[in-house]
Parts: sequence; C-alpha cells; structure tokens
Amino acid sequence: MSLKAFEQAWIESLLNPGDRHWHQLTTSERASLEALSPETLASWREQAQTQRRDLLATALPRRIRQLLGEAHSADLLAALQNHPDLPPQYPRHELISFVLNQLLSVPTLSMPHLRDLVSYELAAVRLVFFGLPQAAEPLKGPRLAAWARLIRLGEQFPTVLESLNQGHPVDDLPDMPTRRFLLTRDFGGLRLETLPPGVLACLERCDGSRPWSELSAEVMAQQTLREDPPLGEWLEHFLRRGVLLAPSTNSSD
Amino acid sequence: MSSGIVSPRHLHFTDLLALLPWIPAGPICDIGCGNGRLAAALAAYGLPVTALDVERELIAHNRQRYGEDIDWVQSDIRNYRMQRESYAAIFCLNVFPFIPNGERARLIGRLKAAVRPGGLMVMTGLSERDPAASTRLARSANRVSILPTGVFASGELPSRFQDWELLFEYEGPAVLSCVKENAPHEIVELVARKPQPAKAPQLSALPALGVGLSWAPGSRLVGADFLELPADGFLELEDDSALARLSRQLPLIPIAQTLSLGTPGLRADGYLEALARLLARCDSPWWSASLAFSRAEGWEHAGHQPLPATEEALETVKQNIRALRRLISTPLLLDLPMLNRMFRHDDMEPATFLRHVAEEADCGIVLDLSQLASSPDALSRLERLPRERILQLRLNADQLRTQGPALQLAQNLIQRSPVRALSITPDTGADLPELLRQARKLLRRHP
Repeated sequence: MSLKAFEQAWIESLLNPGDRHWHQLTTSERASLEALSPETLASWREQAQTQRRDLLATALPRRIRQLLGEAHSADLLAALQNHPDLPPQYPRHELISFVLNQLLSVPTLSMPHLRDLVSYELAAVRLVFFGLPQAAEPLKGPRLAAWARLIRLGEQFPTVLESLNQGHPVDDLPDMPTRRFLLTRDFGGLRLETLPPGVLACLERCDGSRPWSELSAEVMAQQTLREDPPLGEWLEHFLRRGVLLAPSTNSSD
Repeated sequence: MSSGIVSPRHLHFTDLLALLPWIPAGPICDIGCGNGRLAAALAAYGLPVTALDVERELIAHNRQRYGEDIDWVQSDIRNYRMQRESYAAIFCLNVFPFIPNGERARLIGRLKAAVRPGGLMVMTGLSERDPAASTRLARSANRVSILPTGVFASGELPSRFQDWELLFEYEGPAVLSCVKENAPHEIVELVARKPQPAKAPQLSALPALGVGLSWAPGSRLVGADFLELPADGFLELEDDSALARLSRQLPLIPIAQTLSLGTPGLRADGYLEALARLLARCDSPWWSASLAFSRAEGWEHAGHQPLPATEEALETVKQNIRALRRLISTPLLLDLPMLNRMFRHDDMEPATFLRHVAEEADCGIVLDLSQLASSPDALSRLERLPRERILQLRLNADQLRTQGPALQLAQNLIQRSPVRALSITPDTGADLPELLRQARKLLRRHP
C-alpha cells in the first residue's frame, strides 16, 4: 500500500466517514484501503475531531469568546470543525484570521461591538513586532513601522476593550460614531492609542514618500484648530518610539 | 558566508529589540551600556544580561534604577576578561569611538571569540567620513595609523566579519545620542551571526537529564529535572519571551507535533525555521518527533497517524530527516506511536521499521510505555529495537505508581539501555514530589 493511498484513506475517513469510494487511487490501493478495519478508520476520525476541536478552541480570541458568550462560541466552533479550509495551527495568525472571518459571515452572531472587536483582533494578529532587519526602499519621508497601523473603531471601543480585558461585562455603549486610532504591537504588547485628529491625518499620509513638514503643512491647511503640541513636535515622539521609520539623517525634512 | 542587507537606513532602538527572538540561549553582554536602557529591555524580555560601562557613576545609577537582576560591571572593555564562546550575543554600540585604532583589531577578535556559535554580534561606530572624526576625537595612540581614534574605514566592519553570516550592514548618516552634538554623524552598523558547527553531537555524548514532566498549561515544575514541551505551542515570535524565561528555569525537550516526518517533502511554511529558532532559544540537548504523518493535502492533525511500515515510508522518512539536518543539528529522538499495531500491508514489523530509521538516519529513540505496555508481546517487540539508541522513556503517573507491565518494561529498559531521561505525565491532583521521588528511584536503580 503506497503512502499516498494511506494518507488518502486518512483524509477520506475524516471528511466522509460513510464514503468508501476513494478517488484517484489505483485498483490495488483501493483494495488495500477497503481492507482497513472500520475500527481503525473510526479511531482516526475520533482522534482527528478531538484535535480539531482543541485547535479551534485556541484560535478564538479570549475577548471574542467573552463577548459572544459560551453558547455562541461553542456553536461557532462546532460549525467550523469540519470546514475543509481550516488552516493548520502554525502560523497562528492564519488560523485566527480564518476563524474571525468566518465569524463575521454568521448573521445570527450580529451584536454590538462584535464587528469592531473582530477588526481589532484581526489587525492585532497581523501586526508583528519582532523580526530580523529587512531591506527597504530608501525613504524620502517617514513611514509607519510594520508593527503599527491606523484602525477605525467605535469611539467608545477603548472602554469596551478595557471591560473585556478586565473580564467584566460590557456596558451598553453605542458603537457609533467611529474614529481612527493608532494600534501598535511593540515590546510591551498591544496598545490602542487615541491621538488628535491632525496627528492621525499626518500618520495616515506617512508612506515614506514625503517629509513630515510637507504632510503637516497639508493637514494644517485643511483644519481650523491648531494642535497642541504642534504637529511638528509629534515627529520626534514617533521616531523615538520607532512607530515611524525615517530617512537616516533622522529627520524627514 | 552570506552577504547581509545593506540597509538604506540605520538601526532604531526598536530594531534591536525586534532582534531578540533570534538570540540563542545564553548570557548577553551589553558593552558600553550607558544609561542601561537596552540592558533593562533585554532583562525585561527574560534574558540574562551583563552590562558593562567604564563610567562608575553610570553603573551605580543603573544598578539603583534597574536593580540587581542585571550584572552591572564597571570596567573598560579592554581590561575585561571574556571566556571563549561565553555569550549568546554581544551588543557593542558606539564603543569604538573611544578605542584607539591600534587596539581595534585585537578587541574585535576577542569579542568575536566570546560569542557562541549561532550567537549574534551587534556592533556600531563612527566611519572615517564622520565630520567630527579628524577634529574632535583624540589621535590614535598607534602612530602607524593615519586615522583618528576609533573610526572605522569604509567597508572595514563587514570585512572583519566576512567569515560570519551578515544579517545587516549600514554605512551612512545618523544622529547619535551618545555623542553630544546634535549634528548628523557618519556611522557604521553591523548585525552578524557566528556560524554553527555543521556536525551534530554524538548520541552517546548526550547528557543524562534525569526525571522530567510533560508540560501542560499551568503545570507545576518544582523539582523536575527537565520539561517536555509541545513545540507547536511556542513557535510564534510572541511566545519567545515566555520560552526564554522557562528555559532559564530548567532544560526543555521540545516535541515537534506536526512535523509530519512521514509526509513526502517537509513543510515549507516557515515551521522548520521556527522550530530551529526555538531549539536555539532552548539550547535543548535533543528534541523528538513522531514517526508518523500528521498532514495530508492541507489537513493537519496533531494526533500522529502511524505510518505503514513499508519500504516506501522508510525511504520517505530517511529523506526527510536528511533534509532536516541541513537546518537543525540538534540530535533527534524518534517516537513510534502504536508500536504494537500492525497493518496487513506492512512490509515489516513496526519495531523493525523503527530500528531501520533510527540506525540509517542516526537518531535516538523515545518510547512511550503507556502504549507499548498494552501489548502482550511488548518485550519481544523491544528485542527488535536497537537498545543502545533508546535514550528516553515516557510513563504516566498511574503506571509509575502501579506495579504493572509498564513499570516492568521501564525497569527492563533502564537496565539494558542508556536511558538519559524519564518523562512523567502527571495526573490531576498528583503528589508531584512523591511522583518525582518514585521516578528517580526507578531511574537510579539501574544507573
């Protein structure tokens, strides 16, 4: 019996317990598979189901589970258990992203703050702080580091997040209006920061192609209120933290 | 060695922190630690740090601010004794401006020798193009040199590390906080990794670890000699800090759960690289994987489906292990789940299959006695195994307490094989000290 046939039997036993018509196999391979005892196949299936259940349970972020409640969480995981596209355990971000994206497609799971929380968790899982130095295009101006991004969430979301982090029930808060936040995953973990609108507008323009002075002038021309501290002073703050990467003169101007 | 990234920008402090998961196990030396910020971050991550500075006041201040977890040393690096291959990483940031040119080569040689194989060197300094080089700094004590003190010639730093793997190089402008003027300087920076020896340690030279425990979330570890760890739960970079702390408490033996040695072609999704990094972080004397397949056509299952004991499977596994060795030199112990099962399509007995793989791919064997003991002819199956390669046994707590077939098998194996480690899976509410005492007694009976 070839390895291929053996693996095929294993997959078939997981996907189609009642179906003994294995495709893409030679006649002799198929005969070999027919000879495997039903107990063997049942044992494979049982093991696989347990493993998948455990794996999925680790992929549903704690805060999502808390917001959904145990019953909804269990239903969701049960529904995903036999999904043919379930990614492997490593890398973890693929598995978590898969579960979160599937969650969003379940209409019965609609509830306040869920969409925001899923956006937050998806963004968080994709931000990677650690890494070996990478080659990058020469910069003409500041650019957001790979571990920082802007995200649009409900204005009250930080309060919701704090409740979830503390394990408390979520207050009945509106999830509108929305605003932008800076989300970072750095040495100290995840951080959601509320910043003045002008600063956020500058950060949004930081694609490495233009100096900060040009970006901040553009933003100031569009808004009536002056930022305090002035926009120019924020550059040093973000450079020092590494949130912004800049040309090697350490100045974007 | 491979050429590094010639970067268009210099290193930020955060770039240094982002490197930490790639520093293998072992102490780190921060030379010219200054205000201690980097040393404090390294220690907060869970790494053992020696921080050195020539300024007595700085060291006293840092000790007061950051505490005694860091080994603060007031010394001139030129007078500081460093053992060969004693550090997993050396950070030497902006120290060379203060080192006379004539002493630079010797000092770099000493620092290179002090890094362990696989360890990192992060070195920065001023380049000869620096505007302050010829005026601000003292002239070299070495009169042969025409360069000012402590200035690297263009291309000098990478060339001094040409026998290492260069991960990052930069030569260009930057503002340096250590040099008081706020004007841009011309600097050089390098991150390099010392090559690893290609040859793996001999199985016969593996250390005797004693009695260990299988890891579970929230496990108590007190008293164990080592911990058997599911590698798949610790492969992500974000897990590295926790792993660094754990590996400082006791030796770790990782189990690669979804390696799938039986699948033709090894995983190509970064899993193997992550596993190699994890093994370097833990400095594990060995690791283990099942002779099984856990992936097929995108399906993954950590439950280890046993391979058919066929010639084809044998060749597949041997080929996979040979490919693994190019990336991971840490010795591998093989586990064969369901050693007592037999498929009618098998070309040989499972034990014979395991013997062939172990001998032909030069691997050790770890035996899970909880499964094996259920077979009435377990002893005769064991006779087919190469006894000299059985280096680790697994028992569950209940089997250790009960005078049954598993315990008898363990006694037999400990007597006749060079068993280096016995790992116990504790049950809920187990009296851990008593369990470890019994296991040690078993292991000592036949040293």
